[in-house]
Amino acid sequence: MQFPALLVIALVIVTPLGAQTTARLTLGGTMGTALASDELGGPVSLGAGVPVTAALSLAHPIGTGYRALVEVRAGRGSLHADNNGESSSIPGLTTVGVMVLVDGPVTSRVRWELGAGLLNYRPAERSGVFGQGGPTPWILGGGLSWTRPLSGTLDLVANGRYDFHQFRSRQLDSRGYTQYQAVHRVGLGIGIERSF
Amino acid sequence: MRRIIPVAVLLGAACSDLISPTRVPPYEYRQFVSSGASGIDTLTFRWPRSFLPVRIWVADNEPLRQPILTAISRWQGALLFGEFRAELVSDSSRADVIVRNVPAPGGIGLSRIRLDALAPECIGATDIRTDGTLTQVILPMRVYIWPRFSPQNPNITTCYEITATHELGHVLGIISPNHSPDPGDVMFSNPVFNGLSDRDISTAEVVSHITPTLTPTGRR
Ligand SMILES: [Zn+2]
Repeated sequence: MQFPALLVIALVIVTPLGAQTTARLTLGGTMGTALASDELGGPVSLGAGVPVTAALSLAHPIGTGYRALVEVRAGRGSLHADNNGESSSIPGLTTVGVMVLVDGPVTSRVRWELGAGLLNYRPAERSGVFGQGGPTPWILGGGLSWTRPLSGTLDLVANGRYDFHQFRSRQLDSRGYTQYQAVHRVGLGIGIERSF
Repeated sequence: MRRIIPVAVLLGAACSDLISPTRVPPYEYRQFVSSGASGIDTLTFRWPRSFLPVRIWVADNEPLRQPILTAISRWQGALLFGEFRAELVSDSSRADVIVRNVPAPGGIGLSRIRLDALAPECIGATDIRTDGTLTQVILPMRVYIWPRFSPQNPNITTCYEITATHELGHVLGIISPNHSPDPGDVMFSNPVFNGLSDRDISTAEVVSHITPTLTPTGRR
């Protein structure tokens, strides 16, 4: 399913935007484990580095204390290759994730969140593992958000997120690689949340 | 039990690793040169990661431009872990590799390695200049690709693609003058295969992870 379609479906779930709808915008970074690794005269691996990450989400109450969230999370950075200890970077890797999450209270200021969605890899150039384009795997994730009121409708928010997906590209397929590489990512962001 | 199965599936997915393919054996990529009384010296070359992307110059209005772009794309796509990347530059004085659509000059001298290709409609040559101690490649490398007969030959574009891919294989580090013994490889001495075979790819993978005896110098 394409991202715009998923986004439209997700937005329909949370609309109409009522009085308690909140929007959240955070900026931060994400660290992840390797996208691919192999043994070629020594260990070689490819990772997504630490991309700058922006996340925009809309939340709507779905029950006492619980909310449904639709989130778009975009990261921009470089691919980092490690060839037997010799490293290089390949600029221009964007990831765009769309997730539907549920969150609930832990304490008055801390909320948990859990959800699923899709993550699209958008390389600047078709080369290496992205020689035939970027994949769009399913993603599962969860985290914690901490908020502190700034004014009547505005909160400061800090968000920690863990997510997981399985990576394999068409280029890896065509070269005979099988199975998937489990990719674990941890992201931290800080921003604002506003109620409408 | 019903709860354990999905948890086990999830844990299995969370720990999975890619499984590498079985690779075909590479062909010879090294160059052997006589080193006086002491016998044979083995020369190997690959680009250090700090030199990536390799800067290639080819004139804007030359018919070789698109074939060179195709060749770059092929070798970049073959090496999955960022081992080789190249880009076209507009200033030849900054180039690591200069590509020209003219016959290679004669008289290459002692300190040059010349690697040829003789395709049906065109000819290629790559000149790699070394220092006297045979430890350094002095940049820029020079690639020549030119028509054997008429430049208007209907198959010339395909021939340029084959030969550009072949010559870029030499630039990458496949520097054996004996080439591949198999006509199914683009690195066959009289290349006819327009692409990269599994053997071309596995050879490039091996070359890209050696500890080379030659390192590039003289980048401008
Ligand atoms: Zn050759």
